[in-house]
Amino acid sequence: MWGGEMRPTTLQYVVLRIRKWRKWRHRRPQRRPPVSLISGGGRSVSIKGDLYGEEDLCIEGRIEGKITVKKGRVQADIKATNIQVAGEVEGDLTGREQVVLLDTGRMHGNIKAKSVTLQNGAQFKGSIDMESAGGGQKSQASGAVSGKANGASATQRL
Amino acid sequence: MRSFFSGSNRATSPKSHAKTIQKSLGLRSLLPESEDATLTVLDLGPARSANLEFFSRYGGQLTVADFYSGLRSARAATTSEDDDRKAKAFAELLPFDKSTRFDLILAWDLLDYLTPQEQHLLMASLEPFCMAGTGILAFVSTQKKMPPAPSTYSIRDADTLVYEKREGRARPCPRYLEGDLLKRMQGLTVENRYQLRNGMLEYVFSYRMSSRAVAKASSEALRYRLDPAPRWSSTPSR
Repeated sequence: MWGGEMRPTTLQYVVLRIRKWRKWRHRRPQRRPPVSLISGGGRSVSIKGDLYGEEDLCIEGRIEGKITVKKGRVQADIKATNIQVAGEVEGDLTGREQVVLLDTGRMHGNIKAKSVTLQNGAQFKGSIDMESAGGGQKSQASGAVSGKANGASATQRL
Repeated sequence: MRSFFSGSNRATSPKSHAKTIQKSLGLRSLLPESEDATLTVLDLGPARSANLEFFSRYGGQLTVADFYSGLRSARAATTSEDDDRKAKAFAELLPFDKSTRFDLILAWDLLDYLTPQEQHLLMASLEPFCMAGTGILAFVSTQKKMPPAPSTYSIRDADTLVYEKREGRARPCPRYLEGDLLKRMQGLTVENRYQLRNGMLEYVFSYRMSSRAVAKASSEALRYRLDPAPRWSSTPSR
């Protein structure tokens, strides 16, 4: 188009760049919606076992086991004995024993547990019920938590 | 003249600075005398583990709103002329159950970073969750300059706070007067005020107005226009 001695003017160059950007914008990969684990009734789904994924996860149902989502986001209400959040979680957490938000954790929801640990750096929006599961509630400023994961994990001990 | 909200469009938030200890003369008066009492607390700042640890001794509920981080989207709505839309945007930052009532609200230094109109909207959003005697702790700076964003406060004990200032270019401080604050935030009275060594005024507000009086005052406030132009001449950077 601009071979030989013809050179684009500044305006032509800008228009060309805008057109190229628009084409790229439509081609770039879009964020996929979260994977949903639902059945026709929604909450009647029950899974026993470990769940592992690398994308966003939306759970309506019951999972007994371990959930690890790397580079993703978990959108679920989680009830477990011990819950540790290192990624992004949207939903309510109910821990029979402990809920831990690591410094990389981001959570939007409510927490109910006997013990809640919030590491400095964790982002949290929501309520923490400090009167759950009958007295003796403890909360820790920051604990030495071994092992970090790039995602949210929920562990339930039966 | 650049607007109050102009500044750098960096996506990352300003980094925190070293921690500084600050005495609090008003926090103790807002706490129940006995640790057996339950306390429902709203923290308008970011979540801090020390605050959770401190309030857990009282039981009850601690709600963390991290108001300033969600303010950007609400500010986009306040540029419109629709008052209902502005009020709704602010109310969405405090999405609590209608039956929620707070005993204590920790505003920290948030008021310094709100425009007069935003202060009014904030109080209007908080009013449904306040009851007679709800205490509000706030710090207002009297210095000429202030950090670019609200500091992060942690409670060490009932008399001591630890705050982390944000790094970045300091911005002019609005130095709000007490009378102006009370005019904009209907329903509040000043229980106590303390001048701290670091140039901050520590206010202990108490919510007193009845709901009927608040409704009347709110409608009157919407009728007359609040002054949107800040008093400062230079503009802060974000």
